[in-house]
Amino acid sequence: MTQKTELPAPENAPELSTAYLGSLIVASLIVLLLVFGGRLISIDPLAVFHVRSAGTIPVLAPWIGAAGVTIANGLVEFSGEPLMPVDNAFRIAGLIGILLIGIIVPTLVFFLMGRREGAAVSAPVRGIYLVAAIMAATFVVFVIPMGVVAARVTASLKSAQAVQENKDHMINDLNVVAWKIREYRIVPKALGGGEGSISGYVIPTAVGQTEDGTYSYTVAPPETKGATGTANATIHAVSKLYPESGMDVMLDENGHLMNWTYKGLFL
Amino acid sequence: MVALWLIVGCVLVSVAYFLPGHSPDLWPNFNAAGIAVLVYLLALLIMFVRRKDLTTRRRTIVTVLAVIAIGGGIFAWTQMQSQTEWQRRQLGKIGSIIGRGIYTAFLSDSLLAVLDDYHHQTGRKKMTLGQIYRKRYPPGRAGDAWSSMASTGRPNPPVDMFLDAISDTQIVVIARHPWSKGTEASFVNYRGPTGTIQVRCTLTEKGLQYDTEN
Repeated sequence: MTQKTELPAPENAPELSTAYLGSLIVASLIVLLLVFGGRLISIDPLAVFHVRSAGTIPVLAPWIGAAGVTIANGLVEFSGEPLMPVDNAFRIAGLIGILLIGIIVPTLVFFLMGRREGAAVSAPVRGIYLVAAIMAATFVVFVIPMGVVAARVTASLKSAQAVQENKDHMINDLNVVAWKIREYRIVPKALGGGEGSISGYVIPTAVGQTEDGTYSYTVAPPETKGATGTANATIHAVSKLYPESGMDVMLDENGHLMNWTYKGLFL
Repeated sequence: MVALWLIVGCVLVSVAYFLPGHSPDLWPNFNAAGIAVLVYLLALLIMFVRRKDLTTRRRTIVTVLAVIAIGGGIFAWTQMQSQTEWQRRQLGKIGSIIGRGIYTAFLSDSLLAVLDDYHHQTGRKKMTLGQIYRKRYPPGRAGDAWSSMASTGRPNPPVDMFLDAISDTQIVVIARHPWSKGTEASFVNYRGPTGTIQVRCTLTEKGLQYDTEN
């Protein structure tokens, strides 16, 4: 006896099962809620972004919200304004981010992993698991590079800021040197000044040697002209922290500094 | 069971998040919630490791990945907090450097102009240092804020500079910043704030004495 096995005609089989479609719809709804749900909490665009971003990269790093508040507070303090408590929308956005990546996603992944094949797991649950698994996988892939990048950025910022701070301190020191030279030129010889001349002036040690740099000057030739007038002297500054770096600046007869030139790391 | 874990976890973390209160900074709230999340994840991992319906290999791989992810998260979190708090302190430092620079340049420029006038007087009767100052910057009363004096040629004379004392032989000007921090937080500033930058400039016929008081 010949057995015949009848196969269903390909054109009659459904391409997508109801269960699969159900999972897809639920997963899509969850993503839409994550993207647009911020508007339920606040109409402030920045707050909405913080909540909305609970569905994209920043929820994978909710601490970015707190970091942003810290920087904003630094700017407020810089401008002399008083600090205000964090807006409620931002606080809620931060909590949502922590709950999503710290509680909801791990719980769903650890509980639902492996349950698709066996017991009757409904389409909505499959959809939820799908979204949670993708978010968890993304977090695992990106969290360590995020930390490494943050560490490298911090090191780079600190290095650059140290150079800039030294440069700024030296500029302040140069202002002091400039005024001491001008003062010497003004004061009569009877009182220890130069009475119209700066020749022979010795920069006091406390002014010429600071913890940031070493300062000296040369008298400018009579024909030396700068952008704002005729130069009286050129002051030379060499950094103590970065010896290959420094600056030269011309001092005019009114005591104003002009024609700054920078060397080394100060460029 | 899932719902129970979710509810307990969310309640635990939410309570921890709001415990530090409402302040200008979010890190206390985040750190409190982060500790609660860590405790919860530890319990969750223990539950997951005990699941007999998954193969040992699968449980091991997932647990290792979870530990790596949690460690990475802690590292990235602490890095970001450390970096942004450093940046905030740097902004304060930069403000102080700018404030000191402005005072150095402005005070020296304005007072050396008085010294120049004093030592280059023409005329038979020589005016005193105080009289020269009052001529250049009327009215020259002790206690005046410099915003009330005539322009030295620089725009916007600062409102935080004061003529502390004036006599025939000595002029004392004090400059104190309204908010940029000085070296001592408890320093009581001239007329007002506490802990901000303050410098004292004394002009005599020999020159300028510049003292950084805070």
